[in-house]
Amino acid sequence: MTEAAPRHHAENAGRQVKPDAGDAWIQTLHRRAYKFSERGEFGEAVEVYRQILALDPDQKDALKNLGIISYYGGNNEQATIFLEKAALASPEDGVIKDALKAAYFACAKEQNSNGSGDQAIATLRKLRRLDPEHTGARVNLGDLLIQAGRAATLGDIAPMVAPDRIGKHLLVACMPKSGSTFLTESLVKLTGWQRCFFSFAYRQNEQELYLPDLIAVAGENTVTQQHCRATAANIQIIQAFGMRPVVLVRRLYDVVVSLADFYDNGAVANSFLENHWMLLDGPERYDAIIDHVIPWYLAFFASWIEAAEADRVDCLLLTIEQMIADKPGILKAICDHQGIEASLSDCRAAVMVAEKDENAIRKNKGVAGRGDRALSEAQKARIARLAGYYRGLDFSLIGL
Amino acid sequence: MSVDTTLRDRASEDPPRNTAAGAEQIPALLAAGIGLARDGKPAAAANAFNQILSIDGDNVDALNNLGVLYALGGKFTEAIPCFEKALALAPEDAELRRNLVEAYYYDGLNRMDAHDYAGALADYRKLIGLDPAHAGGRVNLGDMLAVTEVKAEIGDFAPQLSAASLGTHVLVACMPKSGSSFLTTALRALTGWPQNFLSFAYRQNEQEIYLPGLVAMATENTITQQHCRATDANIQLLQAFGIRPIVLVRNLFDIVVSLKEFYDIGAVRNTFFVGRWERLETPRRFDLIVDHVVPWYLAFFASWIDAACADRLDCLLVTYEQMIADKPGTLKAICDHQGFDESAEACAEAVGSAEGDRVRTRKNKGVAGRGADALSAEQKARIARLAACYHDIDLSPIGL
Repeated sequence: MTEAAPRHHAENAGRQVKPDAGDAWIQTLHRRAYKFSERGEFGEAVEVYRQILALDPDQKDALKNLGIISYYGGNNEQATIFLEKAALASPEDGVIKDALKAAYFACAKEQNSNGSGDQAIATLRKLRRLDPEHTGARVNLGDLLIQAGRAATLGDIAPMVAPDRIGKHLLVACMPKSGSTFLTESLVKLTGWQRCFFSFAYRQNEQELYLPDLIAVAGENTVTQQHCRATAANIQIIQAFGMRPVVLVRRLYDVVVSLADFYDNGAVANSFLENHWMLLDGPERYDAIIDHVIPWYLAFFASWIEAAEADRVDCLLLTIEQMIADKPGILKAICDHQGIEASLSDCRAAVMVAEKDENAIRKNKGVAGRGDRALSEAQKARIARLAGYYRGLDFSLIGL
Repeated sequence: MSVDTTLRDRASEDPPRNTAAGAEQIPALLAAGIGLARDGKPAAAANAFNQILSIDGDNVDALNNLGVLYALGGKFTEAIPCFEKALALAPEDAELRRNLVEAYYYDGLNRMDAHDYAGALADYRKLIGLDPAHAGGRVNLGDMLAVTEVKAEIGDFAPQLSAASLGTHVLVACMPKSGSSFLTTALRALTGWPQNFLSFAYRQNEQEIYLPGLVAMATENTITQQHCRATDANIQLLQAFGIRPIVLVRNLFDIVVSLKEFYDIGAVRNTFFVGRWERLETPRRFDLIVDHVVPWYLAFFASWIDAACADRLDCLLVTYEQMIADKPGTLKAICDHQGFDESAEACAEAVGSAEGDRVRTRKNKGVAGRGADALSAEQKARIARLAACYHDIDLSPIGL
């Protein structure tokens, strides 16, 4: 497990609490226990706190202090039991919360080390509910779910979002230059759903799904176009929000040519080649894309195929070639996959409106097969070589 | 915005105590203006609202409604002062805030279309000041910062924070297998600061800087180790939080060998090659890393060099080879760069502590030069070819 519990949680966990006003005998016992603790006589302190709990099982300070002593004694599971009870008795107490977070994290780490992955998952889930922003819980829960082969739930990813308030989120996970802008605009016009962007930033940033933006519109219906691969974390967000992605791909030779044109028109600013592109001549530009960008495209394709084959997500895989051949039909297929009620004529109408919106579609040539003519045999061979590491994967949909 | 949902007549719900001459006409003028707007007569409606403002220049309803009329007519530049004045008079009014945010957003888009990037930047800065979670505002602000080459400020990402309140954040932006775990452990031992994990997730996710993680510990001092490239967004976050990164690199041939061994012991689960790696023999494993992973390393190096050369960040470039030759000296150089007052003895002690911590430092062989022997001439030639598109950069720090 990654050691990502912020330090201040553990520090606050260390502060035992002095007794406040209450039953006189209990106060006396508290003072006695506190003095034992100050002298480092924790065994004796524990005995006295147990006497307090025998008198008042919900005495929050005794529960709290027993929890803290247990935590520092390395009895993490015991610590969580005491601190959970203390938190029930005093839900607003920040010291109890911090101590419980630290105890949960330590307990989960211990459970994982002992081979009790399921218990660790359960403990981290409690920590997520207590503190949705806890980095260590988020990262480690994600890892443990992957190791256990379990899908993420909404509570795992966004515990602050009510499950009955989730809207429909249509994600077009797409290769750049695969006609995705056109497809997304058509879907927006067909459904009337809000077009949303779920990447923290663009340009050179990888377009991983940015959870805060998704949470902000969780209750709405949205359509998103995103160049994101099926990473473990992205898949977990997709699982949690009940998304069934449409995965849009294109023949790689055509991608190289289309991307080079796109870079020539200024989009190279969105890459790491910006300062160097103008120094490259035509064939070198194709080479640069093959060497530095095609690996991303192959990982994109492989990751979604494997996620679908492993049944981690329910994807609909489409190619731009299929889309160009029958745009309304493709739109209808998407609606059927997503459970959206729309007729073929509705889809036809949406396509017509999208085709008229030139700002929306960013169409380049929209022609299949340019890459076959433009790339040399050596360039095609290099693409084949790159794909060769994904042995056993059928790349025919992307022209290999 | 729509006429039906945004025009308001709060005065009828809570009549103002307005003693200005003609104040008794305001309710009727308000109702008339709203009616005219709904009847599709915006000019007449605007007249009515302007009449109100001539009687009472601080009438929030009239200001809002006039702003709405401007906005519905696409005149966001004119709408903005109306909303700004209204919000200044009623700062807790969420609807006014939303209207102003929307006006800034669309005015910004218009300015971008007109290539008034400085104007758009000003709009988006104001937008984020009102709504830091606004996804479109955040993205467009980032784009405008990049286009205008203006450095980001803390208010661009976290307006609730001030520059004076920020802690010191040491970021080791590092190539994987460059000794970064050792360096981070040594820095932690030296400073006593906690480690902050600034990526949303790991495994196959790109480690872009995660803003909520940065905000959560913004006022504390932290150490972070992150395999992040100098994307525009990452650079802007570093500028905003006053971070001067340590950029840690290593000879690429040695990287290939070290990474291959790291994958062999299980780290391949953090890639898209799980399930395929095991079927490759050693030379092919080197090939896979050269073809699919070295491009990332080159982009990493080029991006940081480009950022430093363009004076976007004050980076300290450190090589693994320098570090293993003189660890205390490297730590001292980092302290000098970061403005820490630490002695050479303290640095030596921190190095000793880190060297004793084999779990955190994840040391493999710790030797330079293995790659030159292990890689074939053809593999080295392929790396040189990959680097060719960055031929304007001095690649000698990474052995090319």
